[in-house]
Amino acid sequence: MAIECRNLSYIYSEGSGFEIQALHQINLLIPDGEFVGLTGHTGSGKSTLIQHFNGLLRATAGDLLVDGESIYADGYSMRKLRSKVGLVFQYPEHQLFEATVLQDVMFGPKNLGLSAEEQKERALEALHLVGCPEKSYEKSPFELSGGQRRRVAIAGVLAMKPQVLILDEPTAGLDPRGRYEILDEIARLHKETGITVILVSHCMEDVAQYADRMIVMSHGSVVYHDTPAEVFKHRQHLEEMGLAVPQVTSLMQSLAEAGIPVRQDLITVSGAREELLRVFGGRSV
Amino acid sequence: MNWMVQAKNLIYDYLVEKNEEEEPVRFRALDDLTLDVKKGDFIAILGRNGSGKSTFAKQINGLLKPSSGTILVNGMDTAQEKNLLPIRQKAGMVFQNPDNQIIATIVEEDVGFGPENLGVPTDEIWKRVEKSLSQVGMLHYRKHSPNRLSGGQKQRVAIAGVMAMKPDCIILDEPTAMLDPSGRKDVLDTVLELKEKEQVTVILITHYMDEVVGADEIFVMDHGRIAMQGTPREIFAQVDRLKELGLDVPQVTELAYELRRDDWDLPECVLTSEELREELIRLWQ
Amino acid sequence: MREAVIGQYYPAESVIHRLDARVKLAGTMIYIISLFLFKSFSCYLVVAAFLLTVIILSKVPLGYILRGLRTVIFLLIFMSMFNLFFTPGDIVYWKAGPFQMTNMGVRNACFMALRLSLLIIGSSMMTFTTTPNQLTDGLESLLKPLRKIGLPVHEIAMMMSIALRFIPILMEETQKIMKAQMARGASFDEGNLIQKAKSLVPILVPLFVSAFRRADDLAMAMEARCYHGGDGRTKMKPLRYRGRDYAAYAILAVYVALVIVIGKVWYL
Repeated sequence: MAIECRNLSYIYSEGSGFEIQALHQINLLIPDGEFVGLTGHTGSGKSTLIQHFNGLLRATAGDLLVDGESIYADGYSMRKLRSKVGLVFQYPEHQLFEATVLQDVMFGPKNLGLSAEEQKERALEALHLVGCPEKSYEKSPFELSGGQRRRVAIAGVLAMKPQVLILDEPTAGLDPRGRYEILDEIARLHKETGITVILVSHCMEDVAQYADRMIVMSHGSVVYHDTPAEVFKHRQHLEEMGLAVPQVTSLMQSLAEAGIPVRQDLITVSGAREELLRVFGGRSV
Repeated sequence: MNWMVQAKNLIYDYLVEKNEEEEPVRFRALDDLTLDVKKGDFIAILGRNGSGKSTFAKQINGLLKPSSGTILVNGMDTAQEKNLLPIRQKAGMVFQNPDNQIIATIVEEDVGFGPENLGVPTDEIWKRVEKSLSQVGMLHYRKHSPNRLSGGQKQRVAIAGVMAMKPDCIILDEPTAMLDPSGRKDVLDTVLELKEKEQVTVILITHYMDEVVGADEIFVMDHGRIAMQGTPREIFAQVDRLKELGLDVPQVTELAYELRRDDWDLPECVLTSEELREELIRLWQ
Repeated sequence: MREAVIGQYYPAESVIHRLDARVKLAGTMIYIISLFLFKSFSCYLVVAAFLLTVIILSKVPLGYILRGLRTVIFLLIFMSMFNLFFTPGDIVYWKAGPFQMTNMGVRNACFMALRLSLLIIGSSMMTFTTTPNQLTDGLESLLKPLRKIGLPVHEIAMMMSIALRFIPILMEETQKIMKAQMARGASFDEGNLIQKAKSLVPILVPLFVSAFRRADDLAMAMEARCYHGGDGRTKMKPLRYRGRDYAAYAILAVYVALVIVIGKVWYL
């Protein structure tokens, strides 16, 4: 399901004298089925933007089209929108409240007005998707480890069967292994179900590794919207915006500057290794 | 006396209550830990979530007491009640969540909280507050409300709050886990500067590998034990072992490691981008 | 980003900000008593003039202060309506069943709105110009005599200051949790009262869990910074009366006298 912003602007506390322009004329098309990375420094407007995608915030100007329909049209159902566009907030485990894991995941389907069997069916499916072990289903969510709790919270959104899944910093506070486990899970989900994924992250390495395309925001505007390899070519500009390109990308760029003819658009360790092997191939190293 | 912290055969158990019928389960968080920290050193403790590293931090500060074994801070045993205040004054602690450790509603009043508790005379408190706020570069914000500061700024206020107690040692328990990249850098730079200028011992607990490159010694913890110990170079040379322990290495370190396995003539451990760049340029020529 | 203006400190350099917290506490008490003791518009002219002077001196923008009223606007309207429709009087303008509108009703309604507004603005002036820590220090000092009868004055003061620090944080957290549950299809404004109350569970449970976690963290952080109760503590900002504080007490006395005199000679 595609999401399109047309001249979307948002001003906090409009008309109060304390106005803050949080989004400035955003024009953006996120096609169906894409894995998009959304990045930018704190306060760049990325969290504000994603809250528009499922109608939690309403633009002060411009239009937002989900699946070709304007969500600001009269009679458009916000509840329907929220079942189509799932939003996982930062530290989503802080929203868990039910007595058992299963019941908590059923909360979303219940709000959609589904029958008890359907609620359970969807919850089981979602828990399975995030790789939550079956023995935890009847436990209290508060008994689980931090990483497990986060999975349950993500399952809580997946149980709504969204066609677009937005995750705001899903790896915040997790250790490296926990981070990769969650990101791999999301990547697998994207591949298996074909849903659109929007991953909000500070971590350029993560975005580079998982996203097809990335959006870079700064001061409420979209600065870049391209493949990671293309975006990372603007290393200096990114650094000015308080963002760092992945370490290997900056290494390859500095090698190129020193006259070694390596490609500059590499973003992963394995890619860089292959390129170095190719370029250095003839030499005795 | 040369040792800031001496932990000997430290064991810490805690009980997890399941429900009324079952017996509480005993969980061993620290398992026969022996570890010494030299005065003036920058020590890093790495490990997955749940590896016991935070529990150890709380032992140093006397917030938790050993189940068996001893821990001496500046030669004082934390098991003795009368030592607690002097120990906490000598070894200050900064926690993970920036919001949950700031007590006052004005920055300068928060920094004064520690000295107030120690019974420092009023004039001296003012001097200390001013000095510690300027040490962390937050003097300009002294009259501000902590709620308006960024995460990185809040952590720097927390560090100032510890510095105002004139400690010999700062323990930082995952101080950057909830921060964005620029906040992380600010906090880390502040800590390193304090170490250089004020000769305080720094014990940094983290799972970000790039933060510990400059440490004098690294301890990697796993299941309440020390799994690895050594200089950053010694530790980072063991990429496979680190991954086994659920940790990560900086991208360039991994790249150099991979290339070495391809029989490239590279040093055993590369820590920074610049280092690898120099090496590769050398190989090219 | 909705903000709770009531109770929030507004940083500025003003003579009101610099006054001793005890003066401001006493002043607020006297001000509130004067509001409830006198029942004529003429007295309220003095009260309003006094309040306006304080506001101007405090350098807190008027718009900021009035925003604080927005949160209690419903209470204000409700109280006024109640007075408007239920007060008996000599001249009845309109009557229907138990409802009536009389000259006294109109007067009381205006009076009630005025009194409540003056009350809220007046008492929030204290929190605008006094940091919670100064406020609790002031309270602690004023209540000190009660320690003799076993009242844990220091602890109460500390609890209050921590509560004030965490109110805005928990408000923000409530917003976040609400949004997270709304993203899962929850709605909080549908159905009858019982359904509405039930729909609060998904907000309240996470909020309590979070509040307890924060309390735990904070207790540990305080302990780590050598907090061990009120004994042996010194103060960064000890309370000390200065010339301006005595002057302020004198002005308060003049204010009280003025209200009494006006109330006696001029009824409006």
